Amino acid sequence: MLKIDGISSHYGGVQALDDISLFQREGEILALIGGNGAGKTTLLNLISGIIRPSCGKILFKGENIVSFPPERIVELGIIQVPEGRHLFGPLTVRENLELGAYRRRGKHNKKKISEDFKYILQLFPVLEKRLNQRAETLSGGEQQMLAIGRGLMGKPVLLLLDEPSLGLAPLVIQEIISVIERLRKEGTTVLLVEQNARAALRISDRAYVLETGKIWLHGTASDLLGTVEVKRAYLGQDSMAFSIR
Amino acid sequence: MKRKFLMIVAGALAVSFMLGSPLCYSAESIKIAGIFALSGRGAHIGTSQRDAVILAIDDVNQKGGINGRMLEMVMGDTESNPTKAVMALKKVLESQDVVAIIGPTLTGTAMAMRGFIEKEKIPTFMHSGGDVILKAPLDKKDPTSLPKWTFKSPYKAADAMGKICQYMSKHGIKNIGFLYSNEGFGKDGLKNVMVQAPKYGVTVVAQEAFQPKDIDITAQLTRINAKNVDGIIAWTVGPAMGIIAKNIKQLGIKAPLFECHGAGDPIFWKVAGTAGEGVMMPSTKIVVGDQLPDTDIQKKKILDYVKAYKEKFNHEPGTMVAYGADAAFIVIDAIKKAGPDRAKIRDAIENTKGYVGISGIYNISPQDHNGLSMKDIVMIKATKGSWTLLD
Amino acid sequence: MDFSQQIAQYIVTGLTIGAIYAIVAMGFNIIHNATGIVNFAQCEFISLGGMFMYSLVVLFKVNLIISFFISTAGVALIGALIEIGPIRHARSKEIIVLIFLTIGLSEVLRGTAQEVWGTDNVGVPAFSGENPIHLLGGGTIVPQHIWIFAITVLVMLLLHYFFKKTLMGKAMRATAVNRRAAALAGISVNRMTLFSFAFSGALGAVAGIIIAPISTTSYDTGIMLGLKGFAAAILGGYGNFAGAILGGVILGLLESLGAGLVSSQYKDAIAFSVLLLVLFLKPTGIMGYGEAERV
Repeated sequence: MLKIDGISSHYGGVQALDDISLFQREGEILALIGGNGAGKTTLLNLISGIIRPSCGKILFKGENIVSFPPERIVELGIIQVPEGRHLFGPLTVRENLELGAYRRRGKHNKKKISEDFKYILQLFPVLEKRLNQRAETLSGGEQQMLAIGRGLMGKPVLLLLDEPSLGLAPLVIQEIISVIERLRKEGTTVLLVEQNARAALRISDRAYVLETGKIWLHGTASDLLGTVEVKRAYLGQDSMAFSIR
Repeated sequence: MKRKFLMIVAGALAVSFMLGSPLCYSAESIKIAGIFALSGRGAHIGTSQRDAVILAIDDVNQKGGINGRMLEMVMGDTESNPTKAVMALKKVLESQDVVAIIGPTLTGTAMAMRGFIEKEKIPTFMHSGGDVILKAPLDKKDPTSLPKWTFKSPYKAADAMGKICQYMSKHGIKNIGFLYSNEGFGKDGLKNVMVQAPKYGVTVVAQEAFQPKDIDITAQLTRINAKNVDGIIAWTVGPAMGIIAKNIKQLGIKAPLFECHGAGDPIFWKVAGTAGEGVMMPSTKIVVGDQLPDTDIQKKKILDYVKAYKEKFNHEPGTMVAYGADAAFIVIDAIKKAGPDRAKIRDAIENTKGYVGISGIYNISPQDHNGLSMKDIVMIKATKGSWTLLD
Repeated sequence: MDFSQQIAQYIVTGLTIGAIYAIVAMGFNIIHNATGIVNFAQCEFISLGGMFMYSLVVLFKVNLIISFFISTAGVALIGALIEIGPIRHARSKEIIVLIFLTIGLSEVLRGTAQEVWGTDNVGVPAFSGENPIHLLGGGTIVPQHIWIFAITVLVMLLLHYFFKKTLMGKAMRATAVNRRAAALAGISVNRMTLFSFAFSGALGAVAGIIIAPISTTSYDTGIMLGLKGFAAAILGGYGNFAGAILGGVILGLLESLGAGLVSSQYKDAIAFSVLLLVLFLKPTGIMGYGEAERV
């Protein structure tokens, strides 16, 4: 479904990504793990069309989408839930969710959108009480749920999740993980970017480990969970900075 | 870009004016400079005064010129801006040897050009309204240093104000409100009314200012109206002339409205619409030429001129066209008498006596470089898109 | 005319003039929210609205209502062209560069308008006559004042509906809050910016059109109204919807009451002193609270 071919990216003269190639099959949860500054978010933004690569191709269902503007990529169903949530703070929770379905605007989708709206509230019951509240007044966990909910309102073909667990309490992380698992069951393809390697590997099918702009390791999630290096570097059995939170 | 465009337009006008003339200009044409506000806020006055001068020059040339030499005008645009006015003048003087200058249009530009003109010793007939042009000394320290080379054709603003006050006292209007635009012209009017009104037993019981670009003047008028005035004088030119007339109608104020001597122009109707009906103002006789008694010695001259003006430019002349015409006529007469010599032309202009012009009868002297008096001013009333002569 | 009637007159005048300022302020706000720039060409939108109306109604004798819509749409189109052309293709996207660009555009528009229409002030007929109407509480207005007031309220309601109830309006607000998040939601930021320019053009035109029968219009009438509207926007809190209305009305009332009760000579000085005082006490304006709710 997604194939990244020899992508490099420069950020103010510094190479952020160096000749990255990876692929993702339909219906699979792919994890992209790595520390701060490894280039994970850069890669997601390249896919979303927010930044342009210096070279390389991004193929989605066989079509090179590298030069597409962000809204066209969203039209294709590639939807990113950005890191740091990037909600529309002064708009209400309801409005945020409605805008998630922006790509499906038009009369004939109205019924389906309202069904999806109900579905999101079922996934995150806490949002229901807050529908008319400004998004910026929500707690961190609620904001993350809203961000994911907004992404799902777009009916993603490929969902890009950027650090969904960042800064959240373990209980909330658990809740979000269960939502991702539920999405997989429903057939959504998910590209999950995480520093929290253990949680990511537990729910994903395959994973790539990114280190300073290069792919360092890749394989099935279970293989990687057993790999010595990954254990040492990311699973907290060493003194490395990024570990399980 | 704007300047360039205007220069092209001015150039095209000059060319078409030459081509339209039945006679060709010989190399020895006598040149005069015409400096007008052809753009900017004074453009509607400047362009019609330019036309007035063109008409006067055309007339002379069609009759064979001056001693066989054609008269030619070199034009400059002040852009209604004092600094640009001086630049335009210098540019004209550099390119051509002119014997006299006609213009400029606005008092501010006139004041900026005045010093330069006196230094260069070129006779200049201005058609700007401000009395200050002739009254203010050139050297601030020497009150006797009045301009020698500068003349102006419009009657004095003080006389216009006096004319209104005289009319008021004749018609029993005693307590008046004075409304003025808060800039040079309006403030000058305020000074004048304070001097003129008492002379005719009229008392200014309320005085209010407004900004020239204000879009609503009801607050000021409400204040004036609260003082139970019998009449209101509004001293301004531009869109406020109409806004005041409209606001007075709106508020149902019964006191009659008088406006300044610049209001008698087609533009008044454009800004005032039907609300302009009944507004009174001092004016030159040009706008009511056909209503003058046959005994008026100016009548024939005015009617002939208006006819020629309408034929050439296809619209009615406003009150200020008269100033442009007279400035041109007097200068041309002086050139006829004195020949193309700057100093002699100046002396000839200064000796103009009993000259029957469009604006009035000019009696110019070394003490009075204008030569008109209050007798030359008439009171008119705005009536159905035109003007009625008042007694 | 007793004192209470005078006061009523000042208030009625202040409200109508304030309504105009409010519409102009809204025009500034919409573009500011979408792009972060102060659009100085807003002044020209006002002048052009009035001059289009004049040309259609007076010169071409077109029906008043049709002229109203054609003029508004025409200026909206000019606003859109400004965005599609110079603003979108500016080499530098620096806010300050874009602001200077709008100053230049404003000069070009004004110069063109001057060449087309000349410098004379011209009148536009009132929408429904000029017979004064006496209000119950004292004070007199002309029908045009009612039009100004009614159209302003209608425009505000429409804007409110658009921004709060329609998806497109919400998308514009979202773009104002966070351009990147909006892009990630599939909202075309370029298109929203384009809309904001067209909207501002239409708002400026409406202001220019409804005031023209009262003030007359010329190629540069918009300058004064534009500056007042800008002041109103700042007073209310730059970028704030309700602030624009409040700022406009307060400024209108200050001017009118200042001229009526204190001194007509210093009425602008009074209004601007209050503006400075408000900004001194609350630099974000009356309704402003930093980067929060805009549009």
